[in-house]
Amino acid sequence: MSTRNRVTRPEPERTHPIRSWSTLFGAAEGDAGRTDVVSRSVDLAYRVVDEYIRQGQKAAQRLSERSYAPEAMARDVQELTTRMGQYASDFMALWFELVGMAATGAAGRQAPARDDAVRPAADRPSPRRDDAVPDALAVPAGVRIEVASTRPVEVQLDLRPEAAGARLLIHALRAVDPDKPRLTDVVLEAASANEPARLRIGVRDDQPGGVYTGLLIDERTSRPVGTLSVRIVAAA
Amino acid sequence: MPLATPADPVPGLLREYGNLTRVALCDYLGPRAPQRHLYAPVADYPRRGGRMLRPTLCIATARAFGASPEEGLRSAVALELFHNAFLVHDDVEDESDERRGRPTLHALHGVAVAVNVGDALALLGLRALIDNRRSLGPRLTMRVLEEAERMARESIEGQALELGWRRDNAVALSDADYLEMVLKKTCWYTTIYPSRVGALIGTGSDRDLDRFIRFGFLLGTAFQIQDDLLNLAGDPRRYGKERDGDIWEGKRTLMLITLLRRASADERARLAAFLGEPRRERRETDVRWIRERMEVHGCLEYAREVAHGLAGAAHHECGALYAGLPDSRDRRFIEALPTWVLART
Repeated sequence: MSTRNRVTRPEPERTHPIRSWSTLFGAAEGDAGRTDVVSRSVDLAYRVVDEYIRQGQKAAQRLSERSYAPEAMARDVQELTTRMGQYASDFMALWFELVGMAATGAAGRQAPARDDAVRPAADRPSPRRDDAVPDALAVPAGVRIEVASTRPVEVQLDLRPEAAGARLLIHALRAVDPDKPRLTDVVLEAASANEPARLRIGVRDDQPGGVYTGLLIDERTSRPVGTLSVRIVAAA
Repeated sequence: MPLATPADPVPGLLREYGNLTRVALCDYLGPRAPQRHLYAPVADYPRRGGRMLRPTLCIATARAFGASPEEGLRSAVALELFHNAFLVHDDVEDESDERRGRPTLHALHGVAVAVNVGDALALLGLRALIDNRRSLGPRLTMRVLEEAERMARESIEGQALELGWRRDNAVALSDADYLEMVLKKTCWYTTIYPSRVGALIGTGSDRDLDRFIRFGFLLGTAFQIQDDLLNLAGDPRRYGKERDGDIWEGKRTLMLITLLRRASADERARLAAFLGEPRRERRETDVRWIRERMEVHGCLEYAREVAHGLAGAAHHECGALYAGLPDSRDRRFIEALPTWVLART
């Protein structure tokens, strides 16, 4: 065993790790003034941005807890109407596709790509002459979606080509969690001579947030021809 | 996380995604009537070049989170159009003479035409966002539009703060006032919005987007301070704006705010009198004096230190945001940005 003294490093003067933003970019060590400016400015910057984010979160919380005084309700209804208009226009193009397929007996063809399905007709390439919808089938087009909810709701309706012209049924929607109550207020009214098909969804205030799904059934064949998915934002 | 080396991937990706964006921009800047008083000047600023930082950050963030470049492209084009719309209006509001090495649009065509061109650029940006439907579908397109609405609102609120300071000749401003103004005016559309929209497109989800505010703010503020330093000390041929133009405009930069704080009572009075004059009545001798006082009071050095600190903090935030993602050129580009903003000349 060696009797020589081990070579050891001297004890550092610092008592804790040096964590300074300035040294990241090679600032001279020991430049106390500089480090001070950097530390104070970074600290101030974090305070400014954290306060900004906190204000934003407070505003968002206020919005989610908004009261249902008549004025606030009117605003909500206005938003709801806008959303419904958006849904209706999104599904309009899909409905045109379906009616077109029914008219040419092409219901068994593969469904169009999802992106194409929701693209407004004006953006799509012009249909070939033999794909065009005959005038005799110019029935009211589109699916009118009406949502009654005090919370934001996202609705996704996927229909297979076989759904065209079929009389459809839909039952209560279920969540993945079996403990959550079903979403029962879902009604699908068939299109009439003057009115497009109408899907009505009512969300109770005590309905837990989450995604609820259900099948659309062809009444004649009892086969599923589409799905309906409703995402309800959880109450604040 | 190691710091990016000077040989970082920033210039390469700026070139690549910048070119991609420039090509797609042509869809919106093509020759149309009326040419002389609208579409020719509309195409002027976008064709003068630029670093393409904003569109590149948008596409790189989208790609880092798994999207294809095409999915981020229309949002990137929209950003560039919005950026140019802001520049046209800013130049009018600031009475600037030069932009990217040439006379400003209002100097060439008059204020009325320039304001109309700025409006047109903003609307073309909106068109590009609506065109997202083809690659992103209706839901994500609407979310990107909502983000754009917020970005535009934050930017004009920040611009209002700065214009108000100039109009009221505010001289008792703190660093916190400056940071708040830059957060809104610069950071939202330069770094926060491109990052948030890129993440939105890449993940398809708008969860946790507030995380990008902190990173974008720290990075964007370092970028802005460095930009203002270049206006005082950079090479005007490379920088593209008139030297000391910010002093001529009375712009409340960090250096000017620091000078107002550090100057003697007499100096502050002279400075306040200069800032209270309309731009056309300001004299070159005063501009030179202010520039010299900034040096004497260490205002440029102070601003450089603050920029370094904020870039370091941005680098730290970047690690928290992107460390879990697979290694890619896009991720390396984002990680190298805090170093790059300081190395610009």
